[in-house]
Amino acid sequence: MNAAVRWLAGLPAYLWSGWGAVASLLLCLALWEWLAGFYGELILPDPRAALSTLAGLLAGGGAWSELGITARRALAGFVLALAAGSALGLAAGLSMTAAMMSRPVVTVLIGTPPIAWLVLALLWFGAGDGTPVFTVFVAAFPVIFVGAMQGARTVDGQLAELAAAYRLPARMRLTDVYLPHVLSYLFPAWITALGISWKVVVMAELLATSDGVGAALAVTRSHLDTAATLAWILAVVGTLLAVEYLLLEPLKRAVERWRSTT
Amino acid sequence: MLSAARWRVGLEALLLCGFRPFFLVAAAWGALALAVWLAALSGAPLLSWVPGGLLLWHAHEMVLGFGVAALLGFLLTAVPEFTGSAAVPRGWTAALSALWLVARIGGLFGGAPGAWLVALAETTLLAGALAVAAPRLWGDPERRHLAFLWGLAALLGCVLGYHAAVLGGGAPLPWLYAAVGVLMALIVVALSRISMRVVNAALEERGDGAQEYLARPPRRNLAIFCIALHTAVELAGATLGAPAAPVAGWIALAAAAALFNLGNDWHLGRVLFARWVLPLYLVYVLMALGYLLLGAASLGFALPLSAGRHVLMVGGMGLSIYVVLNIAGRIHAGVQPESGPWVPWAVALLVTATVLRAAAGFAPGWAPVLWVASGGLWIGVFTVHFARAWPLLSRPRADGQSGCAGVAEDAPAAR
Amino acid sequence: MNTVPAPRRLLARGVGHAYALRTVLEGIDFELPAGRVMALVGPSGCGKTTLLHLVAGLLAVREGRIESNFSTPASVFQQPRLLPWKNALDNIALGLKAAGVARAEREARAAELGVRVGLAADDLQKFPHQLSGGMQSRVALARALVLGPDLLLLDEPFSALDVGLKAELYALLAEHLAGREMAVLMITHDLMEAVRLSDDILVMAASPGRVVARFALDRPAARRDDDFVYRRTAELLRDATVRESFGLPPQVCAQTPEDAACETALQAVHTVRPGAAPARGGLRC
Repeated sequence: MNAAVRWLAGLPAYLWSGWGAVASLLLCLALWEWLAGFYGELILPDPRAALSTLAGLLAGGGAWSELGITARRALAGFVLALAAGSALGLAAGLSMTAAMMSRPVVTVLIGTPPIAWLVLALLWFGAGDGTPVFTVFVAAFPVIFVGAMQGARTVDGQLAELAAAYRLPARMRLTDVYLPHVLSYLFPAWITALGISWKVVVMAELLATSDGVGAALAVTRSHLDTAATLAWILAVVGTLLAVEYLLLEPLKRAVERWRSTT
Repeated sequence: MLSAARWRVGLEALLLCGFRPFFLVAAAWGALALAVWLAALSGAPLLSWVPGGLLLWHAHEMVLGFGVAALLGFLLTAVPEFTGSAAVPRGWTAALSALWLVARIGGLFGGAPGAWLVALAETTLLAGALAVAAPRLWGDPERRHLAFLWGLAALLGCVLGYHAAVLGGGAPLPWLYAAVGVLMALIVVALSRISMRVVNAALEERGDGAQEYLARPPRRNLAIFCIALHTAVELAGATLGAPAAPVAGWIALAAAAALFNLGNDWHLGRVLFARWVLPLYLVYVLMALGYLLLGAASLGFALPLSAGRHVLMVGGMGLSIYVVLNIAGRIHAGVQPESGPWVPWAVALLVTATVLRAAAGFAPGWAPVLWVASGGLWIGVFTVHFARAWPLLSRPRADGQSGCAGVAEDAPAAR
Repeated sequence: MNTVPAPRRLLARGVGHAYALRTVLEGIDFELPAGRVMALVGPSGCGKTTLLHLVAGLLAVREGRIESNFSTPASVFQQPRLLPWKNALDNIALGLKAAGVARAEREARAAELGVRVGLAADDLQKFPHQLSGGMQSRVALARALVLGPDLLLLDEPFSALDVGLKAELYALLAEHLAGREMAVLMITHDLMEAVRLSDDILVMAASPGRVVARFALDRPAARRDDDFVYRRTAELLRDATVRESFGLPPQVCAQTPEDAACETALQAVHTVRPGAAPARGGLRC
């Protein structure tokens, strides 16, 4: 309740602070426009062409359903990775032995290119939701796992002593001492993993499915329709930016208010 | 003779500090040159002989006449203060003022001699200003104010380009547009210094000791970078023939966003509406709107570029100059800024003038009426300001202090 | 309030402790009754903190025994150890929350004590990283005192603060102690601090940590002025055992008129000293 009011009160200032990001994105568009002037319509249409194509796609309604399908797959894989990665990572962090054992496994998972998992997934799950969801899960899992493990490993021994000296009951130790600390590691990992999910799902769809943004990209590529390709890319990137800056970043600030220096 | 003695005293007072002659002529010329332009637009047979045509004369006089006068008045006073260096000698102030005057007179002459006279006078004026400012800015131990130096140098470049185009038969207007960009960047630099004092003083006055206003360099630098890039790309497009309009358009939008971004430093609660704080904030808002319109026009929105350009000039430059004339132009004469109702009214009138001038771009049918209405407000504001500032700046200081010294600590608050 | 008026006390008998192969404490005996302040003085690393952890129950007692029938002990650590994600008020109220005190009451009590230790109302809403070191120490002290403890364990809580802040916080503590039947066990390496605040001083030496001298100060803490504190501290510093414990070179009483004073002062403080084992030569931390 209190937190909600505080969040609402801080919202205008937060949104206004986005102008700096808007400025740098507009500078990127200027660079794009400049490059488009060199290469011409077929290779690199200018941003206005891409934006108007995107507006057409959105107005036609088709883009929304494709984005919805892609979002469903990305979120499914992400939520699975979030649950499994957080739980297993915390468990591994609590035991030195488990942490030692899991480290090389995680390195292998991170080091394996997502495209390799995609090929395996195609063999295992065929052309359906299973393939992109699995690929997203495998790509996002190790990032969350490592974050959770680090969080559990780095709990401050002095604060644990404090909890003992002040006779904190077990539930309070968890909610007041351990969780806030672990969350400060988990949250950034979740955000990174969400970004990975969103990128990987498009790649998986491009090769494995007949619907979703990835599949739409495959179609525009085969038609040599660069403007539409760029429009889809803008849609994917725009969605990620919106989720990150309108949802996750304010949430992160609310959760980690105690960290901020301003 | 009595009148000769009075002249001597008056001249002595005028040259007491760099801002005195320049702030006075800025206000006077701002009103007069615009009145001439409006009269000519309405069909009066005025100045039909000026080189390059009346439009060029109007643009040149407002940017390099009005704008530069106010800028030099500010720099001649502020640079010694910021850098803790020696005051600008009276002879320099006199010489620079004379050069400015020669440039105005030259502009009214027709033909090649007039053009050459303006070119020589204006180039020497800016080179002289650079000669005064450079050693002081460079000699500052931390060199915190070098931005003014780069700004002045860029302005000198624009002046050279402009006159080369006029005398060599090229296109001079793009150089004036570039000068507008340089002035915008300089306004951001100067306002960051001025606002630190104004806003924190307002916070203190409200008893809001917990809050502190800081003009943070990263945000300011982003804004200056965007403005500078826009200026450079637009100038390159116009002079080198590169198809730069949409590129410059996106950059103008980026500059607008970066200027809105500066507002983050200012959002400290109700202090934003304090007497001297809001006008400074509005300068940034109007500049941002100006770049927004410029960008939209460059990207194909049905709007003349001049609408955005005039929001920058009337709103960004006019309002900031008016505020500086009223703050620095009084404090360094030993009196507190005015506390009466006229200043808020003048600010509101200038904002209205800006809106009317921008509206002329949206409603071409009404443009002549809107031009006159907007210009009338502008002329009124600066005429009244001149009338109020003249008695203060043309007479010796009444507080017993000398030169550019600020208000004495124990001085009573002025009404 | 108790129907059985068992005298409250903290008792240590033959307490020792070892980390892996290193013995850090050996044969510690003392008794701390309610209402008394005991200082453990010694060089850094002589096992003082380990002893305090044993008393606080943060370490299991494996050798000897520690008995305490104090009901509400509270600790102040060397560092403030505030929870960074809680504001000052919630940090102060931590122990109350653990004890199940309702939110409204614990916030009221925490706020009251916060003000008493010199925190402003808006400081109470700040997070630890927004507070200065001195303010953080105040919060840590308030967090302990708000519990109304009958045994207070202090582990050099203010050693990182400047002299003025330290004096102010000790004055706050002394004010809080006055009129309360609270026992205090404090660790310090500052003899003057010990002389100013405590009734009993146990001097410890290192390798392994043990008590090498005991002194009692008979004048009540409230009536000790600076002069008394300086004089008694100087006397303690002339004691051969104390000097050796801190690794100071032995003092030679010179053949001067002050000589006699030097000798008598030493005897005066030695009167309370029990037959403690003499230090085993030349050991320091």
